[in-house]
Amino acid sequence: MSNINAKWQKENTYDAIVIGSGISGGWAAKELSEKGLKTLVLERGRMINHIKDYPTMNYNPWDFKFPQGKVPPDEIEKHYPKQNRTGYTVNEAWKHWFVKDDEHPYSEVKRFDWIRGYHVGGRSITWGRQSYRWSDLDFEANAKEGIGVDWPIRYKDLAPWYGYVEEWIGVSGQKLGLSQLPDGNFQPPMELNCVELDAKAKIEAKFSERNVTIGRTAHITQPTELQKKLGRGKCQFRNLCMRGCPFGGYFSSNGGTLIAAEMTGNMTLRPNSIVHSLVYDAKQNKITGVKVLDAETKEELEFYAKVIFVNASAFNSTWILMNTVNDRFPNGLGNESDQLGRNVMDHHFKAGAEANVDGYTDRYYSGRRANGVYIPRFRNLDKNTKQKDFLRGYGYQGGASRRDWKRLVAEMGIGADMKSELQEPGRWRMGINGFGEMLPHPDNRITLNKEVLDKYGMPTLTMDVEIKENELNMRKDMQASAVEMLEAAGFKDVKPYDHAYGPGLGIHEMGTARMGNDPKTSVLNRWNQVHEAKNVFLTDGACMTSASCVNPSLTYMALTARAVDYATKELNKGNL
Amino acid sequence: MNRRDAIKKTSFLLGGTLSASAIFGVMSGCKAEPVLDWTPSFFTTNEGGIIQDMVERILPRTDTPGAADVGVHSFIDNMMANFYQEKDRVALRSALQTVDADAQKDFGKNFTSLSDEQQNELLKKYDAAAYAQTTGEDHFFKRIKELTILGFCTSEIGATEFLEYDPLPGDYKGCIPYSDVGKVWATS
Repeated sequence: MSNINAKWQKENTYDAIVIGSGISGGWAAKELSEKGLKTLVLERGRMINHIKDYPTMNYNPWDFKFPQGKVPPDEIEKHYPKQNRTGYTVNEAWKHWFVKDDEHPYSEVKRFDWIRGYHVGGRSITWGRQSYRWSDLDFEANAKEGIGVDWPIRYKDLAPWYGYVEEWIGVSGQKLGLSQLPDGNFQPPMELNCVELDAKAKIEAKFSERNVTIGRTAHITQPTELQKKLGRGKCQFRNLCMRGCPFGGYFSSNGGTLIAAEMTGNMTLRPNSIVHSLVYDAKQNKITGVKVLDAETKEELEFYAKVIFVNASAFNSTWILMNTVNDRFPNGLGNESDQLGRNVMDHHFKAGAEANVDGYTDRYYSGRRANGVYIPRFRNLDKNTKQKDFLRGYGYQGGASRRDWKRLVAEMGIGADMKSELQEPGRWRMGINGFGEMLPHPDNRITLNKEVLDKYGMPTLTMDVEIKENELNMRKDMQASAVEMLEAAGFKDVKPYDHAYGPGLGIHEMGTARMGNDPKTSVLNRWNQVHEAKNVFLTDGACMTSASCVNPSLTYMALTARAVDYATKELNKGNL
Repeated sequence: MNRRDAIKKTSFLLGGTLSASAIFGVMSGCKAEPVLDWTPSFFTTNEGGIIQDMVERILPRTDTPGAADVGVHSFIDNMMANFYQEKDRVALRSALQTVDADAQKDFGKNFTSLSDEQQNELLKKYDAAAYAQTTGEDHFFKRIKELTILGFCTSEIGATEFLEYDPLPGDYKGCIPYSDVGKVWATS
């Protein structure tokens, strides 16, 4: 028996294990295997091959079962009541990238929208692709304001890794020279349209501290040799991104990092492998592997490695640590600080303004730009921009476009006249939508729920998260500033809005295993190592100590590349 | 039958389709059942005839195909059979009975036996009522109109011949003369 075990152990021992194949797991896989480590990538969901497994990528509008990919209400009520809360995720075009809620339950003390997909590539297929660097304004904020704990790193620690990741994935954008939104290693920017260009000129003339720029997005506009070698090409401006891109025009794990990892010959990708917990060896006082449930055979398996990267997405990575319970870690791995599961953050948004635009009726655009304008943060940058009602700040994403044929649904009229109106574009409109920073708060937390089990008999999560006064005050300013800018642009019927935001809707879950200098108040150290288990690294959204107001994925990728570099050096020194 | 098949099935008739009313308006028997050149899976023959005439009045054939030409009626039939819930089916069915009752009241004939002008007159009344309404469940005609516009503009002929469709733009130009395109884009 022990011989069989020894044989299994030998055959199933790798240099490194990566849990999760989404945007950060893909990066861990690529970096580890490119550094020569035999790497096992465990993914709980099914295999998705780039291009081959994007079933709707070339659908025309008339190819869907129902118009615009709409999904019957009976199906939504049965399988997707929570996933559908965004209003856009459950669509025939891409619903296969989202879980069925009836198969993957969670509990809510307060409403929390946990929108996610279980398959190879995870949410790297459906992400928003907006890619921004953090600055020291973000990294220093907690320490300066006495909120949460200080970040154990600063911009200079991450800057080279941002550059490395940007160059590799391809980020298009415009350099601005702003300290609060550092420039990156950009491919040529996409164009602004006529109305956006005019708005930019007028807003920047009236407000010296504000900028209107094209979104910085992980779309290739000028492929590098390396990107071409991986089979990636220029964005074709189809705006069908979430279906999966046959051109590799935007970055995903499937079309990028996993292909590179595969090319090294060092990666073993194992789909349908649900991680239950990490394996602790009391004799060595060390985490030595991963316990897995095979989703197809229902077998329980163990895999072993010197170093483990946990990249299962913020809440699921934390779930794995919480579910790793033994004599040494009675409250879950990494939870000696009692911080595991706490300080949940997201970006709160859906507050801004929109307006009608007179004129430009002889102007139009061609191509469908899966991008818009970005207005970088301009609040609480310094003494002059200090706000009395809230800390931190927000940026805007938005854009201008002409109304299309769908507008006639809301207007009276039938017959030949209405029909010919359908063929004409309507007036221009412009809107900007604030994305605000959410402060870390220990009471905003997720906990392990052993009463509600999933279909594999494993415990689930309970969410207890809300936005508080700082966010609510910020939302008022997100509307007021949007109104004053659209008015400065000379637009008409400017209307503020606050469409109820619920935590999770930003699909930017962060926190729950924060980085920090002190093991007593944080879960991870400055290299994303679990304080209590140095060979376990966690580099997805769970590690975030604060949230900034910019989209987070670029930062996860940079942190991952940096952590792998460190892990490899430590391995070589025999320290792990 | 899915939507793709539904539209394929009817699109070969393009140019040759006569609306139910055109064939049966002349018969003018007050209980005359229309004869359909398609087989509804949800609607009865009479209901199918009403829907077919309705979509054609909403988006009639002009120098471009009309809604009935591209099979919007069978698209709505498919939505009713396979998309909407039972309460929606019941509500539409009862609304279509009202349509015949109104046609009888105003013109002494079932809806499908009315002339195009008479059908227009009745539908314009519904249209005005639908858009005047500000509270409660949407007027049935608003839904029919929405489905007609959606079905038409997302059909292959609607998107590619009636509107401007570019499956592979390759590039984005943010500020060009409208005349370079000349029509609204089918997709955004």
